[in-house]
Amino acid sequence: MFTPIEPERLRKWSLWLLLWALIVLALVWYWVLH
Amino acid sequence: MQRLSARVVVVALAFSLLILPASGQQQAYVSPGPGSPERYEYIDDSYGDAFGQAMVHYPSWYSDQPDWAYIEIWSGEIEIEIGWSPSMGAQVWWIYYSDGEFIYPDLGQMDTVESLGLAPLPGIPPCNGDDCNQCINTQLTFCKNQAKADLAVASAAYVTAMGLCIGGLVLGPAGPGVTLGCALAASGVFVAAAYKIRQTKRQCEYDRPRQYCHHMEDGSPCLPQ
Repeated sequence: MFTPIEPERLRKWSLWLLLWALIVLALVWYWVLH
Repeated sequence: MQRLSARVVVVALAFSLLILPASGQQQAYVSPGPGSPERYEYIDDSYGDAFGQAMVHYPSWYSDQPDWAYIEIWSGEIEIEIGWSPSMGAQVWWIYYSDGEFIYPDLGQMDTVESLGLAPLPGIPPCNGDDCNQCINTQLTFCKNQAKADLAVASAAYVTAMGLCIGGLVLGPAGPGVTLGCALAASGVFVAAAYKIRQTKRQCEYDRPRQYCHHMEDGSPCLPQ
Protein backbone atom coordinates (compact mmCIF):
# COMPACT_ATOMS: atom_id res chain seq x y z
CA MET A 1 0.00 0.00 0.00
CA PHE A 2 1.12 3.54 -0.51
CA THR A 3 1.46 6.38 1.89
CA PRO A 4 -0.43 9.46 0.68
CA ILE A 5 1.87 12.37 0.09
CA GLU A 6 1.31 15.27 2.43
CA PRO A 7 -0.60 18.17 0.85
CA GLU A 8 2.18 20.66 1.55
CA ARG A 9 4.78 18.43 -0.07
CA LEU A 10 2.45 17.75 -2.98
CA ARG A 11 1.99 21.45 -3.55
CA LYS A 12 5.74 22.02 -3.50
CA TRP A 13 6.39 19.24 -5.97
CA SER A 14 3.71 20.49 -8.32
CA LEU A 15 5.05 24.01 -8.20
CA TRP A 16 8.61 22.86 -8.84
CA LEU A 17 7.49 20.80 -11.81
CA LEU A 18 5.51 23.69 -13.22
CA LEU A 19 8.49 25.97 -12.77
CA TRP A 20 10.70 23.38 -14.44
CA ALA A 21 8.31 23.16 -17.41
CA LEU A 22 8.22 26.92 -17.79
CA ILE A 23 12.02 27.17 -17.72
CA VAL A 24 12.37 24.39 -20.29
CA LEU A 25 9.80 26.05 -22.53
CA ALA A 26 11.45 29.45 -22.32
CA LEU A 27 14.95 28.12 -22.97
CA VAL A 28 13.85 25.96 -25.86
CA TRP A 29 11.89 28.76 -27.55
CA TYR A 30 14.86 31.08 -27.24
CA TRP A 31 17.26 28.41 -28.48
CA VAL A 32 15.21 27.51 -31.54
CA LEU A 33 14.22 30.98 -32.66
CA HIS A 34 17.49 32.86 -32.05
CA MET B 1 -5.07 3.25 -7.48
CA GLN B 2 -1.40 2.55 -7.85
CA ARG B 3 -2.08 0.80 -11.16
CA LEU B 4 -4.17 3.73 -12.31
CA SER B 5 -1.37 6.11 -11.51
CA ALA B 6 1.11 3.99 -13.40
CA ARG B 7 -1.25 4.05 -16.37
CA VAL B 8 -1.40 7.81 -16.22
CA VAL B 9 2.37 7.99 -16.31
CA VAL B 10 2.57 5.53 -19.18
CA VAL B 11 -0.05 7.43 -21.13
CA ALA B 12 1.81 10.67 -20.50
CA LEU B 13 5.06 9.20 -21.72
CA ALA B 14 3.48 7.58 -24.74
CA PHE B 15 1.75 10.80 -25.59
CA SER B 16 4.93 12.80 -25.40
CA LEU B 17 6.89 10.21 -27.32
CA LEU B 18 4.35 10.05 -30.10
CA ILE B 19 3.28 13.63 -30.42
CA LEU B 20 6.45 15.59 -29.84
CA PRO B 21 8.63 14.05 -32.52
CA ALA B 22 5.76 14.25 -34.96
CA SER B 23 5.46 17.95 -34.36
CA GLY B 24 8.99 18.47 -35.58
CA GLN B 25 8.20 16.76 -38.85
CA GLN B 26 5.51 19.12 -39.97
CA GLN B 27 7.50 20.62 -42.78
CA ALA B 28 5.21 21.53 -45.58
CA TYR B 29 7.57 24.23 -46.65
CA VAL B 30 9.08 23.34 -49.96
CA SER B 31 7.22 24.84 -52.80
CA PRO B 32 9.04 26.16 -55.82
CA GLY B 33 6.68 29.05 -55.72
CA PRO B 34 5.50 31.38 -58.42
CA GLY B 35 7.30 31.08 -61.68
CA SER B 36 7.18 27.38 -62.20
CA PRO B 37 5.61 27.05 -65.60
CA GLU B 38 2.68 24.75 -65.90
CA ARG B 39 2.46 24.73 -69.66
CA TYR B 40 4.98 25.26 -72.38
CA GLU B 41 4.83 26.18 -75.98
CA TYR B 42 7.58 26.35 -78.50
CA ILE B 43 6.77 29.14 -80.87
CA ASP B 44 9.83 29.39 -83.01
CA ASP B 45 12.03 26.52 -83.95
CA SER B 46 13.58 28.10 -86.97
CA TYR B 47 17.10 27.49 -85.75
CA GLY B 48 16.73 23.82 -84.99
CA ASP B 49 16.42 22.10 -81.65
CA ALA B 50 19.24 23.88 -79.95
CA PHE B 51 18.31 27.42 -80.86
CA GLY B 52 15.19 29.38 -80.96
CA GLN B 53 12.69 31.18 -78.87
CA ALA B 54 10.06 29.99 -76.54
CA MET B 55 7.31 31.32 -74.40
CA VAL B 56 6.32 29.81 -71.11
CA HIS B 57 2.96 30.02 -69.57
CA TYR B 58 2.72 30.67 -65.88
CA PRO B 59 0.28 29.01 -63.51
CA SER B 60 -3.21 30.38 -63.34
CA TRP B 61 -2.92 31.02 -59.62
CA TYR B 62 -0.47 33.70 -60.58
CA SER B 63 -3.01 35.32 -62.82
CA ASP B 64 -2.58 38.85 -61.57
CA GLN B 65 0.72 38.91 -63.40
CA PRO B 66 1.46 38.61 -67.10
CA ASP B 67 0.91 35.12 -68.31
CA TRP B 68 3.86 34.73 -70.56
CA ALA B 69 7.57 35.15 -70.30
CA TYR B 70 10.04 35.24 -73.09
CA ILE B 71 12.92 32.83 -73.36
CA GLU B 72 15.73 32.78 -75.81
CA ILE B 73 17.74 29.65 -76.29
CA TRP B 74 21.29 30.39 -77.26
CA SER B 75 22.94 27.08 -77.88
CA GLY B 76 23.30 23.56 -76.70
CA GLU B 77 20.99 22.20 -74.09
CA ILE B 78 21.69 24.29 -71.06
CA GLU B 79 22.92 27.61 -72.35
CA ILE B 80 19.69 29.47 -72.00
CA GLU B 81 18.88 33.04 -71.39
CA ILE B 82 16.03 33.28 -69.01
CA GLY B 83 13.35 35.75 -69.80
CA TRP B 84 12.04 37.80 -66.96
CA SER B 85 8.76 39.47 -66.76
CA PRO B 86 9.64 42.76 -65.07
CA SER B 87 6.81 42.73 -62.59
CA MET B 88 7.11 39.04 -61.94
CA GLY B 89 10.64 38.46 -60.84
CA ALA B 90 10.05 34.79 -61.29
CA GLN B 91 12.47 32.26 -62.55
CA VAL B 92 11.77 29.79 -65.27
CA TRP B 93 12.78 26.36 -64.20
CA TRP B 94 12.04 24.19 -67.17
CA ILE B 95 11.75 24.76 -70.85
CA TYR B 96 9.90 22.51 -73.14
CA TYR B 97 12.14 21.31 -75.92
CA SER B 98 10.89 20.98 -79.43
CA ASP B 99 11.57 17.28 -79.58
CA GLY B 100 9.39 16.66 -76.57
CA GLU B 101 12.02 16.64 -73.86
CA PHE B 102 12.55 19.01 -71.02
CA ILE B 103 15.79 20.83 -70.72
CA TYR B 104 17.04 22.49 -67.63
CA PRO B 105 18.35 25.97 -67.24
CA ASP B 106 21.70 25.74 -65.53
CA LEU B 107 20.81 27.86 -62.56
CA GLY B 108 21.55 25.44 -59.82
CA GLN B 109 17.96 24.79 -58.87
CA MET B 110 16.10 22.10 -60.71
CA ASP B 111 13.13 21.45 -58.50
CA THR B 112 9.70 22.20 -59.78
CA VAL B 113 6.23 21.68 -58.51
CA GLU B 114 6.03 18.65 -60.73
CA SER B 115 9.34 17.07 -59.84
CA LEU B 116 8.74 17.49 -56.14
CA GLY B 117 5.18 16.29 -56.41
CA LEU B 118 3.95 19.27 -54.45
CA ALA B 119 1.08 21.60 -54.90
CA PRO B 120 1.88 25.29 -54.83
CA LEU B 121 1.31 26.80 -51.45
CA PRO B 122 -1.05 29.75 -51.61
CA GLY B 123 -0.19 32.86 -49.74
CA ILE B 124 3.55 32.74 -50.16
CA PRO B 125 4.51 36.08 -51.61
CA PRO B 126 6.60 35.99 -54.74
CA CYS B 127 10.06 37.31 -54.25
CA ASN B 128 11.09 40.27 -56.22
CA GLY B 129 14.48 39.76 -57.72
CA ASP B 130 15.30 43.45 -57.81
CA ASP B 131 15.51 43.68 -54.04
CA CYS B 132 17.53 40.79 -52.82
CA ASN B 133 17.71 41.80 -49.19
CA GLN B 134 13.98 42.18 -48.91
CA CYS B 135 13.49 38.88 -50.64
CA ILE B 136 15.91 37.12 -48.32
CA ASN B 137 14.29 38.65 -45.26
CA THR B 138 10.89 37.49 -46.47
CA GLN B 139 12.17 33.96 -46.75
CA LEU B 140 13.92 34.03 -43.39
CA THR B 141 10.72 35.29 -41.78
CA PHE B 142 8.85 32.45 -43.41
CA CYS B 143 11.29 29.94 -41.91
CA LYS B 144 10.99 31.53 -38.50
CA ASN B 145 7.22 31.54 -38.59
CA GLN B 146 7.20 27.92 -39.58
CA ALA B 147 9.51 27.05 -36.70
CA LYS B 148 7.21 28.99 -34.39
CA ALA B 149 4.19 27.03 -35.57
CA ASP B 150 5.99 23.71 -35.12
CA LEU B 151 7.25 24.77 -31.74
CA ALA B 152 3.77 25.79 -30.65
CA VAL B 153 2.48 22.31 -31.42
CA ALA B 154 5.40 20.69 -29.62
CA SER B 155 4.95 22.99 -26.66
CA ALA B 156 1.27 22.18 -26.39
CA ALA B 157 2.11 18.49 -26.35
CA TYR B 158 4.84 19.07 -23.78
CA VAL B 159 2.55 21.04 -21.50
CA THR B 160 -0.05 18.30 -21.79
CA ALA B 161 2.49 15.63 -20.98
CA MET B 162 3.74 17.57 -17.97
CA GLY B 163 0.17 18.05 -16.86
CA LEU B 164 -0.34 14.32 -16.98
CA CYS B 165 2.85 13.77 -15.00
CA ILE B 166 1.70 16.15 -12.32
CA GLY B 167 -1.76 14.67 -12.50
CA GLY B 168 -0.28 11.29 -11.73
CA LEU B 169 1.23 12.76 -8.60
CA VAL B 170 -1.85 14.64 -7.49
CA LEU B 171 -4.54 12.12 -8.34
CA GLY B 172 -2.70 8.92 -7.69
CA PRO B 173 0.13 7.50 -5.69
CA ALA B 174 2.72 7.95 -8.37
CA GLY B 175 5.20 9.33 -5.90
CA PRO B 176 7.76 12.04 -6.47
CA GLY B 177 10.28 9.65 -8.03
CA VAL B 178 7.97 8.40 -10.75
CA THR B 179 6.66 11.88 -11.38
CA LEU B 180 10.16 13.23 -11.69
CA GLY B 181 11.06 10.50 -14.16
CA CYS B 182 7.95 11.25 -16.15
CA ALA B 183 8.75 14.96 -16.23
CA LEU B 184 12.35 14.34 -17.26
CA ALA B 185 11.30 11.98 -20.04
CA ALA B 186 8.74 14.44 -21.37
CA SER B 187 11.30 17.22 -21.23
CA GLY B 188 13.88 15.12 -23.03
CA VAL B 189 11.48 14.29 -25.84
CA PHE B 190 10.47 17.94 -26.08
CA VAL B 191 14.08 19.06 -26.37
CA ALA B 192 14.68 16.40 -29.03
CA ALA B 193 11.68 17.63 -30.98
CA ALA B 194 12.92 21.21 -30.61
CA TYR B 195 16.31 20.15 -31.93
CA LYS B 196 14.68 18.76 -35.06
CA ILE B 197 12.64 21.92 -35.50
CA ARG B 198 15.79 23.98 -35.15
CA GLN B 199 17.61 21.89 -37.75
CA THR B 200 14.66 22.26 -40.10
CA LYS B 201 14.65 26.00 -39.59
CA ARG B 202 18.35 26.27 -40.35
CA GLN B 203 17.99 24.17 -43.46
CA CYS B 204 15.06 26.30 -44.52
CA GLU B 205 17.12 29.45 -43.97
CA TYR B 206 19.78 28.03 -46.20
CA ASP B 207 17.52 26.68 -48.94
CA ARG B 208 14.78 29.19 -49.40
CA PRO B 209 16.75 32.33 -50.27
CA ARG B 210 18.62 30.28 -52.84
CA GLN B 211 15.39 28.87 -54.20
CA TYR B 212 13.35 32.02 -54.36
CA CYS B 213 15.61 35.03 -54.53
CA HIS B 214 17.48 35.80 -57.70
CA HIS B 215 18.98 38.88 -59.20
CA MET B 216 16.95 40.38 -61.98
CA GLU B 217 19.95 41.00 -64.16
CA ASP B 218 21.46 37.57 -64.57
CA GLY B 219 19.26 35.22 -62.58
CA SER B 220 22.02 34.40 -60.12
CA PRO B 221 20.85 33.64 -56.59
CA CYS B 222 20.88 36.35 -53.94
CA LEU B 223 23.07 34.98 -51.19
CA PRO B 224 22.55 36.01 -47.57
CA GLN B 225 25.32 38.25 -46.28
